Amino acid sequence: MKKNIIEISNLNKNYDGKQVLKNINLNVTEGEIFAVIGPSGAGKTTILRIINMLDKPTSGKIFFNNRDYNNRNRLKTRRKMVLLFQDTGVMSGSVYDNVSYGLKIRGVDKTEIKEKVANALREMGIESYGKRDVKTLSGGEKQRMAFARATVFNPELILLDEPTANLDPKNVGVVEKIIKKINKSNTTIIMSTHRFEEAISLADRIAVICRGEILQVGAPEEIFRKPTSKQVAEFIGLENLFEGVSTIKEGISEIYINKIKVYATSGKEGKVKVVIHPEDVIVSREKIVSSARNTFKGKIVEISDKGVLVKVVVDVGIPIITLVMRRSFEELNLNINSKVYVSFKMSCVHVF
Amino acid sequence: MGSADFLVEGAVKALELIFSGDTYVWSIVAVSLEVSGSAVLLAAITGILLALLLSFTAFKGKSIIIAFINAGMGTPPVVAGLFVFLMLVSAGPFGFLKWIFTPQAMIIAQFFLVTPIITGISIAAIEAVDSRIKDTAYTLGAKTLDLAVVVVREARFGIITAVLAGFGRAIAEVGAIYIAGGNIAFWDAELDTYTSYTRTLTTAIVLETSKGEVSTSIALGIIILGIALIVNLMTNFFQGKSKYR
Repeated sequence: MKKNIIEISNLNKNYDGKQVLKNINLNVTEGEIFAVIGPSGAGKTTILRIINMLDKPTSGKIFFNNRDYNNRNRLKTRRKMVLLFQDTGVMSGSVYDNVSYGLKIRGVDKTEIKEKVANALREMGIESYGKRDVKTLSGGEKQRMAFARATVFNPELILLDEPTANLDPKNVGVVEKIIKKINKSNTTIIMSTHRFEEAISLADRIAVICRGEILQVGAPEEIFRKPTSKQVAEFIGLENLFEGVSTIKEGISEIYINKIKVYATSGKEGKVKVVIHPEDVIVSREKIVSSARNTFKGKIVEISDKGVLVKVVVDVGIPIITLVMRRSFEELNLNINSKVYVSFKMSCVHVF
Repeated sequence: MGSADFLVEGAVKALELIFSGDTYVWSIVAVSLEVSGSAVLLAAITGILLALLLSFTAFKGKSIIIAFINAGMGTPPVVAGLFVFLMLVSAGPFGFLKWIFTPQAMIIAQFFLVTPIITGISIAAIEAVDSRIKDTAYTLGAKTLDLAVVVVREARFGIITAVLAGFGRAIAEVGAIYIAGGNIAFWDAELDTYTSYTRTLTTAIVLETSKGEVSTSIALGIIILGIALIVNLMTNFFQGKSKYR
């Protein structure tokens, strides 16, 4: 069995009299990608900051490789990990100045620094950026620089706070690839995210946190299939997650989920996970002629009230969850067992 | 003689004094720069360290100390001069040093005047440094000393502005150096002229004007304006840089 790199027990954090974290118990295994997922303000960032010793817990214990945080040699422990902030801070100077900083303060000699910085920049695909002023970098480039800066001294644990939150979709893909690449060299990663798909595609295990409390910890499928509380179900349950087999024909993925064939724009083949956001699904009484490539006939098996929206589950061979505006719901006169069509565009099918 | 002639004649003589390298005038410039330069150097070291210490620590009464520093920024020069005079005068507690009416006394007086200014502005500059930069340095493994270096580096333009503001204050003030230094110049028989011992640009202008030597006063006035102008241009330059950052 693999050992735990981080163990947190009975940890509480109060901030200005408000309880930010309540009785957190958490173990993170060496070499895994662990995602802390929850809505904003849930306490994700605070957990990461406490693990990195940037904030002190009000009570409770943390261990890094069985070493208590209250031990004397905090600097030594702290220097084995690094936190990447959601909004990266850059020190004035060049990319080289920034990336070499961690090595410089560790007293590494100059020729070794040069070599390691060059390697780190190459790993992140920014090998020619060394002399550039950090102020001239774009958001995506800055994030790559931050990854190079954090990985250059080979930390055992990398903490990522919403690593893709401020990036455009193209750079999100790049950063997710980088995360996987770093993890391959057995570096443990703890990341926070509010995007469930990101957690599914990257994490080995997920902790769902809400209002400072951990609601459930487990593998992504486990949390998805068997949410242990209503809150978890509410947070993640409004998604369509399926497993299927993808084959590519003429540049388009044909994904079989049970006997249903779903078209997607992904380039992935073989076993895949598919997520379709309920709000992207159109429900209609008649078969509509449109540009949406995915249209299925089915019947309504579940209706529940969500306020302005109504959650309608349509069985088309697989249960498709949809969200319909209350007005549309009333105009379409939908009931349990109503025969309806569901349609969604290829680009709305997210494949992992 | 018309009033315009009197001014023109004074100005022409003043320019002559400046460009002929008049020993008396330039010895005054040298003492001024030496005294204010030394005072600002000492005040900068003290002020920046004090600012770092106050920015990096949290303790009870910190806000009171900062309030005192801010009040100290407006200390009237004569009061600082009087304080140093009382300390150094032969009957005073530090009379044994025999520093009264010496450049040392003037440096001490200006040090008290300038340190709160440099400290106060430096604190503002240091606290304006983006907290994300501090956090980033910390997570990359910085010790407290490393953090201080990072913060000073980030706040460097603001700190330079603080030091320049301190120098501007020191070079232009009269009261403190007048009382502590005594405005002394010695007669140099060999050069057949006076040379300054504790006489500075500002104290000399007071004296020469009262004596009616307006051309000397105008010469000194032009020089001090020139210095002030250079300091202000530099301040503008660095303030612009710190805003851009």
